Amino acid sequence: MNALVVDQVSRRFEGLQALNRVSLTVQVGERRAIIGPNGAGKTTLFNIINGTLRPTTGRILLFDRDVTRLAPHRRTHLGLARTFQISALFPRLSVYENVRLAAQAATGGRYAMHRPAATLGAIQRLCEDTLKKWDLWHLRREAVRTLSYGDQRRIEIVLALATNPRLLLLDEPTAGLSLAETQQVSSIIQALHRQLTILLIEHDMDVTFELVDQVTVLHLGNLLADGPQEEVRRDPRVAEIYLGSATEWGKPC
Amino acid sequence: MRQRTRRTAMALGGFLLLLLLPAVLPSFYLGLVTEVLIFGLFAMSLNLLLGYGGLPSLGHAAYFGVAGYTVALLSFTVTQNGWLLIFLGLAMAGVTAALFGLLALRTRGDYFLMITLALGEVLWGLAFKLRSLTHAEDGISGVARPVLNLPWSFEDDVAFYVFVLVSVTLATLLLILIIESPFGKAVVGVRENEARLQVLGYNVWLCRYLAFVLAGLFGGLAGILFIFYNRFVSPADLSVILSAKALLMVILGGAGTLAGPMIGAALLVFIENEVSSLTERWLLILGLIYVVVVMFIPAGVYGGLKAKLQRRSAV
Ligand SMILES: Nc1ncnc2c1ncn2[C@@H]1O[C@H](COP(=O)(O)OP(=O)(O)OP(=O)(O)O)[C@@H](O)[C@H]1O
Ligand SMILES: [Mg+2]
Repeated sequence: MNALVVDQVSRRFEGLQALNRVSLTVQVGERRAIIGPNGAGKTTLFNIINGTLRPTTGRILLFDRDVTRLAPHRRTHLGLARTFQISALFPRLSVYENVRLAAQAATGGRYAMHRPAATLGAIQRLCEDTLKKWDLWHLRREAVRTLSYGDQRRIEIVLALATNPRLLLLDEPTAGLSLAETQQVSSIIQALHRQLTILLIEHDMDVTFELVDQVTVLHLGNLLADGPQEEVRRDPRVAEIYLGSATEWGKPC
Repeated sequence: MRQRTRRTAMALGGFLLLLLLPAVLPSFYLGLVTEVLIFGLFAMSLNLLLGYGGLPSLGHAAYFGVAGYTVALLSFTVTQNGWLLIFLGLAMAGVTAALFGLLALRTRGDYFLMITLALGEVLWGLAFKLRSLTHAEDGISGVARPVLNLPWSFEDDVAFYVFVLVSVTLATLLLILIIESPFGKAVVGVRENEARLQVLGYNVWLCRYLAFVLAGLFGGLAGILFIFYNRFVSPADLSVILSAKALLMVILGGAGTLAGPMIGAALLVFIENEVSSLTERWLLILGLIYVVVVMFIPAGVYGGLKAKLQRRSAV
């Protein structure tokens, strides 16, 4: 079964062709990086996969089901989760309340009105487990916006995982992190169970090649290369666009 | 947990105190307290939208007025049964909110404010236009206090005060339950970060819509209590002035807090009572209060106090 099929997807923004007939197939359990210079269309592709944006033309299939016209929250119910390039949490709420909103979504009773959330055992247990597992228990009362940037990036991933997804989209999870934090996040991703399909946008090539098997390269909205990472790394066209930009390329890892 | 018991004890104490109030308060002031309770409920219902949902409605009087007109008109023509009147008033407020919500929730922010204002003005205009039904600016007077088949008659002001107190208390408990429920938490999530809530699997539109209709229903209940209290309904009960007053009560007390709107309502009702006997320019004073609150206590009286206390206990 395919976790994701992107079929001839294009997207225009007024005069700009952000994506141009991009096609991509991701199998269940695959770990794939989407790389490319700034403005290549990587985040736009994520937005189209998760339904925040509609493609101008083309189709999206999730687990063999056509979801092109499905609302984002319905795609989440099919097992899709994502993180955002710019942290998108509930900044004024506590860490506990952030996790609880994810836990409510995961346990199904997300619109229940008949009981206080604090008295619903399943939600509380899931919150507690999640917070302890990710070493956030001692921070549970803090407002998220008061936490360090590194902790906020970690909570991005925690919230996405709390909905128990089958396909996870990570948009530059290590951007702006220190070396130590980057390694921490990288080992978190590495330790995720292997049935979880992961799509990763990442500028740090060391991290990328450590984590993925397959690499897709976007450039100015076009799919430039697509294949096993060793192959893509040897591709001269890929080297060229990266040499032309500030990002390091081909550094031994 | 201990904090919770303490809070419950305080609320219970407050309720008993209010229950005993008629024994000590002259009837004029009892009337004012009745008004505070009714407008407090009205402000709390708006707070569900504004404070918790982040949706600034400037047309909340629509539900107050529709429910009031419904009860007034039907009490003369259809039934004297208070329960039935309450039910029908709520139903009309709910239907109105369900319709207006469909239109208003296509927009956000300032546009939401303007469309709710416009929708409210449509009803206000209708109240003038349908003269044969509503008597336009003369309004409908002589509405009887509710007949509820209980051992008491609510024609008596003290009995009616107790009826309002119990109704507002029950409605408040319901509102607290909604705010504390998973749904209520989701509504706050919509306010804080819509995009994130959506990718967590919430239907963001549905959260807003349910909050909108619930706010309309509770606003309608306030309107029903008011028509029974005031025995008179006029286009003023549908007007943007009433909507703005409710908005001011919420902001004055503290948006997004439980007690804030009630405190804002108390302040405004008492200030209005004092000031309107001194000057005709009550609206000007309202505007001034608004400017002062927004500039100097943006979190509101109760909201600001609460934040200060929390900061102190954190140190
Ligand atoms: N909502 C939008 N409206 C107009 N233009 C947009 C919008 N979103 C993205 N773009 C444009 O589309 C192009 C692709 O943007 P996108 O964010 O997908 O790039 P990216 O590959 O994620 O880049 P980065 O590495 O900087 O995150 C850019 O030129 C961007 O300015
Ligand atoms: Mg991007």
